[in-house]
Amino acid sequence: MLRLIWDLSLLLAGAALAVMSLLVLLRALSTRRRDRLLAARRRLAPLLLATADPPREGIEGMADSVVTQLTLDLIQLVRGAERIQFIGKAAELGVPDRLRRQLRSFSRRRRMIAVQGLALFDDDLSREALLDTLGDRDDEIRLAAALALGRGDNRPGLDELVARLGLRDHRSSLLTVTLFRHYANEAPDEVQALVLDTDLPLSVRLAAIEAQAVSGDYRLVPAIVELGLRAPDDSEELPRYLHALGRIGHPAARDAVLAGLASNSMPARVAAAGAAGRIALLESADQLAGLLDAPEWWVRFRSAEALLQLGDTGIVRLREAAASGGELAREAAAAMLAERGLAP
Amino acid sequence: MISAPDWLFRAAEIVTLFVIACGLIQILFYIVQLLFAALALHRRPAHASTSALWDRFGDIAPSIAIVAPAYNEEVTIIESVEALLALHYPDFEVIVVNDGSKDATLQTLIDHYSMRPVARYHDRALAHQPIRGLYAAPDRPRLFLVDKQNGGKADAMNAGINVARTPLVCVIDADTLLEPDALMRAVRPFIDDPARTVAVGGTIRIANGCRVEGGRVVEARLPRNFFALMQVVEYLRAFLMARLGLSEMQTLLIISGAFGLFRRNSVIDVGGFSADTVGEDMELVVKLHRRMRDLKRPYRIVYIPEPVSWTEAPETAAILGNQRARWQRGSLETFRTHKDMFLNPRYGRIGVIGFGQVWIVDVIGPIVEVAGYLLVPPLWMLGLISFDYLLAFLAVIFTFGVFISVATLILEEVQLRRLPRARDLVILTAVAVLENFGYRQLNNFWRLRGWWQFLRKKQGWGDMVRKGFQRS
Repeated sequence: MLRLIWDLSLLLAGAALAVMSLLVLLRALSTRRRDRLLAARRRLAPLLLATADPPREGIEGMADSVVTQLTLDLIQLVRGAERIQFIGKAAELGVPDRLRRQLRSFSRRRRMIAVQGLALFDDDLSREALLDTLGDRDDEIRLAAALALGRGDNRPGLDELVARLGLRDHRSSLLTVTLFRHYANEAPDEVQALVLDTDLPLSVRLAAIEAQAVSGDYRLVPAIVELGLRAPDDSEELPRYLHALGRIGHPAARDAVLAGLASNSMPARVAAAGAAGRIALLESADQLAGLLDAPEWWVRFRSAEALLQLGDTGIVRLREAAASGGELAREAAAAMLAERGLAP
Repeated sequence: MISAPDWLFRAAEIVTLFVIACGLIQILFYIVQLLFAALALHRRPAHASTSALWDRFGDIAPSIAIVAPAYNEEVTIIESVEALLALHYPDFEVIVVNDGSKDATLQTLIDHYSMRPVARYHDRALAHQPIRGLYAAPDRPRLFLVDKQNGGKADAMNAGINVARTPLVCVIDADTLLEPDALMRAVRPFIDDPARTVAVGGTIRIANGCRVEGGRVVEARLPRNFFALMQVVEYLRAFLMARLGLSEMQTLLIISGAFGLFRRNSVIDVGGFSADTVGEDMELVVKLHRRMRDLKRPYRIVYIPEPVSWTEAPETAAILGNQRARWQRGSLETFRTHKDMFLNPRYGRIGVIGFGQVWIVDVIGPIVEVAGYLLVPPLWMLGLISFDYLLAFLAVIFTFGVFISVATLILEEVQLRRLPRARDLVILTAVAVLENFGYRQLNNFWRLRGWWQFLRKKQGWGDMVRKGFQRS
C-alpha cells in the first residue's frame, strides 16, 4: 500500500510533466500560427477601414477566423451608419455563413461567440439559425439567441420565446429584462400578457414588469397597483412592484405607494419612498416626513430624497425635521439639505 | 537498525502513518478541486470583448461603488485613482478612504482634483473610526474622498461601505491594478443570478516584472525575482485550482481583499469587515455563509476565472514571511471565531467540506508537515520505520506536490492560455517542480510562525514595504 502511494505519485507527476512538455511544444508551434494570424489581421484592418466596399484583393488565403473576428470587432466598435456599413461588408465577406456553421461546434464558447455574432445580422438565414439555436442544450446560449432574435425586426412571439427558454421552470437572469425590453415598445401586449400570467414564475413576471416600466407604458399601472395592494407585506415582490410604479411615474400608482409607505417591510418602504418622489406625490409628504425617523438608513435616505423631489412642500418638511425632528430625522434632514446646498 | 521495544516501532509507524494520511487527505482535496476547477473552466461563459460586454450588460449593469482604502500612498495615489476612474463600466463611483495617512496622501488628492469639503448623508450601520471630512471633486463626479482617523484596512473599508449608496460595493487594495473591464466581468454573476449572488471574487495575478503604464498592466511578464516567481505558481494554484474549484463546489470561504465585489446590504447585515482579525477578507465571506445558511436562504458566492486585477508580491524573505504568517493567523482566527461551524451539518457543505478543508490544510496542515520533516527521516534512519514509509512520505510531500502544481499549469494552458510565451511555460513548469524543494518547506516554517503568533495573540499586520511596480 505504501509503495503504491509512491508509485502512484510518480506516475501522476511523470504524466503531468509529459503532458506539460507536449503543451509547451504545441504552444511553440501555435505561437508561430498566432503571429501569422496577427500579421494577417494587421493587413486586413486597413483594407476593411479604407473603402466603403469589402476588400476584394489582399484577403485571399487569409484565415476565415481572422476575417470573422476582425469584422465582428470592428462592428462592435462603431455605431450608426458606420456600423451598418461594416455589417454589410461582413455579410459580403461571408461572415454570417461562417458563424452559422460555427453554431454546430461542440464547444459551448464557440457556439456562444457565433450567436453573439449572428445577432448583428438581420437576414432570414441568420434568423432561422438563431431560431434553431433556441433548442440548444445550454441555457445561456438559448438566452443569447433569444436576445439576438428579440433585437431584430422580425422577432418571434414572446410567449414562444419564454417557452423555448424554459423560463417557466428556471431562475431568470437580469438579461431577461433586456429581452422583454426589446418587446416592450413594439409588442407591449405580449409583455403585459406575461405580467398577468399567474402560471409564470414570479421572477419572470417581475422582469416583464421592469421592462414595461422602462418603456414608460402606463397601461399596466392599474394591474401593478392591484398586485402591489394584494402582495403580502414581507414578500419579495412588493418592493419590485413599487419600484416599477416609480419607474413608470404615473399618478394612478397613488394607492399602492401610500400603502407601501406604511408597510412593515423595509425594502417596500424604500421602494415606496422612491416611487413617491418620482411621481411627486404631494400627499405623501407627511408620511415621508415621518419616515425620516425610521430606524433603517435606506428608508431615511430615500424619504429625504423623495421630499426633495416634491419641491417646496418637501423642503419645508425637511426644514421642520432638521429643526425639531427626532434625532435620526434631524440628522437625515439636515445632511440632505446641506448636501443639496439648501441648508438654511 | 537499533534495538528498541516493539511499542516504539509501533509508535513510529503510527506517527508516520498519521503524517502520510494527513498529506493524502490534502492531496485528495486538491485533486477534487482540480476536477471541479476543470469543470468550471469548461462551462465558463465565452470570453467577450469589452464592447460586446457593454452591448450586453450596459443597460442593466447595477451601479457599483469601488472602495479603495489608502494609507500613506502619496506617491502612487493619483496614478491609482486615475486608473480607477478610467474603468469601463456604465455606472460607478470611486470612494477613496484616506485611513489617517501620516504622509500627504490626503492633500495630494485634494490638490490634484481640486476637491472641496462636502456634506453627504451616509449610513452608520458599520462601526469605524470617526470620519474627519468628506470631499468631492466638481470636475470628477465619480470621485469621492473620505478622510478618517486611522483604524486599519477593515475599518477603512467599513467607512467606505457606509458612505456608498450603490447596491454593489467593490473592495480593493489601494495598490491593486484593475483590468479596465474588471467590473464588467465581475458583475456577470450578479446579472446571471441576481436573486442569489451575494459576493464575487476574481483572479488576482502577480504584477512583479510586468510593464505598468498609467496604473495598468500593459505587458504581462514573469518576474525575475526568485520569491515573486515562486508566488506566480502559488497564485495560479490558489486562484485557478483552489478558489475556482471551491466556488464550483459552492464552498468558497475566501475572496481576496485585493478584489471583491459584494452586495452592499449583505455586507451590512453581517456587520461588515471585522477589525479585530488580520483575516478580515476570509472572515467576511464566512460570515456571509453563516448568515445565509442561518436564514436558510438560497445564495451563491462565486469566483470568476477571468483575471481582474494585479498585485505586487513581496520580493524578500522577510516581507513574504510576514505576509504568510499573517495569512496563517487570519485563517486560524477565522476558524476559532466560527469553530461551531466546523463539521456542523447545520451549515451543510460549508461546515463539512469548507471548514474540513481549512482544518486539514490550514489548522493542522503546517504542524503535521513540519513534524513529518523532523520525524520521518530520522525514524527511518534509526530503523524504526521501513523504507516504504519514507517513500510514501516523500510522495505526499514532493511528487504529489509536483503533480498538483503542474496539473494546475496544464489547466491554465489548456483552458485560458494567459501566459504569453512558450518560454514562460517552461520556466513555470520548472518552478512548479522546484518549489517543492525548499520553498514549500520555508513556507511551512512561516506558517508555523503564524501559528505561534496566533497562540501569543499577536495583533496587527507587520510591515509590508512595497517596492513599487515597474512603471514605464
